[in-house]
Amino acid sequence: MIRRIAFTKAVFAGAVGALAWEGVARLIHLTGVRVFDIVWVLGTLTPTLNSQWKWWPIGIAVHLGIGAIWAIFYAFFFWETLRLPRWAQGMIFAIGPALLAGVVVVPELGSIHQAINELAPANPGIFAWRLGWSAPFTIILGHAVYGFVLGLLYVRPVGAPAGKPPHWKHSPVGARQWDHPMPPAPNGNFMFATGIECSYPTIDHGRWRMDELQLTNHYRYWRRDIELVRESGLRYLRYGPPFYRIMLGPGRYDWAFTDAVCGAMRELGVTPIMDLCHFGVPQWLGNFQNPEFPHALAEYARAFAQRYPWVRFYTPVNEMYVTARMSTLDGAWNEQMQSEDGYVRAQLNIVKAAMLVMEAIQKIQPRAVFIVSESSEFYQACCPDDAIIRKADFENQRRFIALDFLYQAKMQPQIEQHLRNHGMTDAEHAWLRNQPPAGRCVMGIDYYAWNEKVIDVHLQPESLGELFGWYVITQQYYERYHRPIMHTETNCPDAKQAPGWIWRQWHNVQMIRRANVPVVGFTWYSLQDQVDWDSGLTLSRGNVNPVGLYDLNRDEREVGQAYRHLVRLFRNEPLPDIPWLKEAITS
Amino acid sequence: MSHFMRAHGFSPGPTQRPLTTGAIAGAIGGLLTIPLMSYSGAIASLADSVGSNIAVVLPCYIIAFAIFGIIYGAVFRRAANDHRGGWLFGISYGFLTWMFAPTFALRVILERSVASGVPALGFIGAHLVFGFFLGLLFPPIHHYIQRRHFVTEIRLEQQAHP
Repeated sequence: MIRRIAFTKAVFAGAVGALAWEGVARLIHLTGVRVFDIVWVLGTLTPTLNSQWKWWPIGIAVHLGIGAIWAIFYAFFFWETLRLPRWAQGMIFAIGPALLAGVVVVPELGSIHQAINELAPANPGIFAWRLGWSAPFTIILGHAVYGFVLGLLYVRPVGAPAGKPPHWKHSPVGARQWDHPMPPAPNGNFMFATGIECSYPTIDHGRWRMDELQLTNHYRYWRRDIELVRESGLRYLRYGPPFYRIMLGPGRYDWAFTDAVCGAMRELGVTPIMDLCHFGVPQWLGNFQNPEFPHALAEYARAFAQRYPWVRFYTPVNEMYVTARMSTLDGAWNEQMQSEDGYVRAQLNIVKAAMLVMEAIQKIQPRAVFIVSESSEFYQACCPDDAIIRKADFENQRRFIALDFLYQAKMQPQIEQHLRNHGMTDAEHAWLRNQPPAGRCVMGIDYYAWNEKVIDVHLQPESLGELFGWYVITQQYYERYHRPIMHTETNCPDAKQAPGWIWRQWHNVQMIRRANVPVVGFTWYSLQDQVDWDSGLTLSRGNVNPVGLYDLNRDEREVGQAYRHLVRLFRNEPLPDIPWLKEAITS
Repeated sequence: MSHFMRAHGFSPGPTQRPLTTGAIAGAIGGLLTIPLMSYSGAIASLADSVGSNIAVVLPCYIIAFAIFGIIYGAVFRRAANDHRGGWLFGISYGFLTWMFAPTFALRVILERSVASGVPALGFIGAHLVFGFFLGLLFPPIHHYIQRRHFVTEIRLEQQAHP
């Protein structure tokens, strides 16, 4: 799949564009100017349809159909490839159909028409120039109108209005008959995993939701996706049920979809790492500024653990730092603020939520293990300038705020002061600091090449690419918190480079294990391609990011083969000796 | 466009066979156009144009459709596997092949129009029907071929490491 497009929207936009063309052509016709009447030509290709009431519906239907077909090409290959207003994109695109129509279709149709219909004029020639200047003019004008309308109407192909969640299917689609042998699951307890990309932030100031489960067709192919985990020789799956659609309000839940998916996981022997909050909240909660968010998430976690008591692995809030940063500093998601006050409020709410979630789950499932996934970040000053170095140092401390509270680690005084300066109260600080350090936790360290950043001369972070790599950055986190580690996310945006990247990441894992850092698992994220992460999920464009083990048609990519091979080679890799983790795995 | 497609990871990968799939789906799509081509007189018109008979021209035209299918697989590769929108995408492709083949290539080769009137309409309809079935059949045929490849690979692997 080259791109997720909205077929219905494209067909509608193309048809309306063709209708607008017809409207303009009729108006010009009324003024007495001779036009090349494409609808009449199409409608009278069969000679029995010469009366007015018969040819128009036939002609306009065919013309609308052609308009829809071109619109699909526009949606697939042209839309948003130019940085221009959308109406201009549509008009530039229409140059192609106009040329093909003028040079190929009009002469051809003219000749067909003449042979069929005795009322038809002589072959009009290229761009119908034999009919006079007004005919080529109306062909070009008609296409311009078509392109203008198409460009205006075809917008936001993926995602859904925040108040109107997309449809989901409870019955399996695309499931296969298991009539063939499966790759063996790993023997050792080392946790080879993948994940279903499940982000669901809102954009456009809360009006539009980008739900990756919808964008990647998981709501349709969920059963097939669970099967693919096993076909890849894997057992563990990072999976985020859509919190925003399950928790309909305080005490109100819709579990139907999750019930079906969890049933398939148990049937197929897939162990989920349940990700309870992935970059978004339900519409009724608003955003991460809401002080009710931590309590609502804890209530959801409690209900979840009660409903699925066999689930052992949880991620309370995925990438707490990234969630807060993208929502409040980068102005990208949810509250879309650009404010330190907003950041501090969101970060404190999120870490409080994580603490309450862990407490709630542990009361119901004492054997639960928490895989606290966090994006590994590192900031490098570009040059020996005090302000730049201070900024890099500050950002390198900011990345630890959530984990410092969660694991009750010592925080730098200037960071604590920063939190107080931007809204943290004494009571809040006391509550956070009086919680017991999180137990039974695995520190999930996500790593992508863009996680390492340089602070440039304008004090702005810029992606640096892989400079030190997962090994070095992870050492920084491990030395601070001394918790077992799992490589919980990585991928490569270039599908051709991905097999090399997965091996590079695996060698990082091996190297750090040799340095006696207890790494318990490795994850390629995600199972299937993702959509619109090239814009950080800030734009609804439908661009497919080929980072999956499988593409969106659920066809395996080369990295899928590479991972299957890797897992086969290292299927006996032992788990570090962590009794509570082994207990969770074997119980 | 090719840059755009490369950037989106269009490499078919070692388990995919888009050319074979395109040939099979294209040939089937071509076969399914025979009633329309015959009824409209398009195939007879083509045979007249090239000075041959229908029995020779028809298989040649089916081969041409198979080649169009191969081109479809070669150009679109992973994009051709779209389960949901493939048929619509295929119709668009069929429209393009109509513009290229009967209206342009054959006209240039024969130095005159291949058909006019109803037979010419038959060509348009046949290419749209061809495109529809090409786009519709490509994903399941491709999946069947790929599945066989996968199962064979797993069986070999299990034999090697029982």
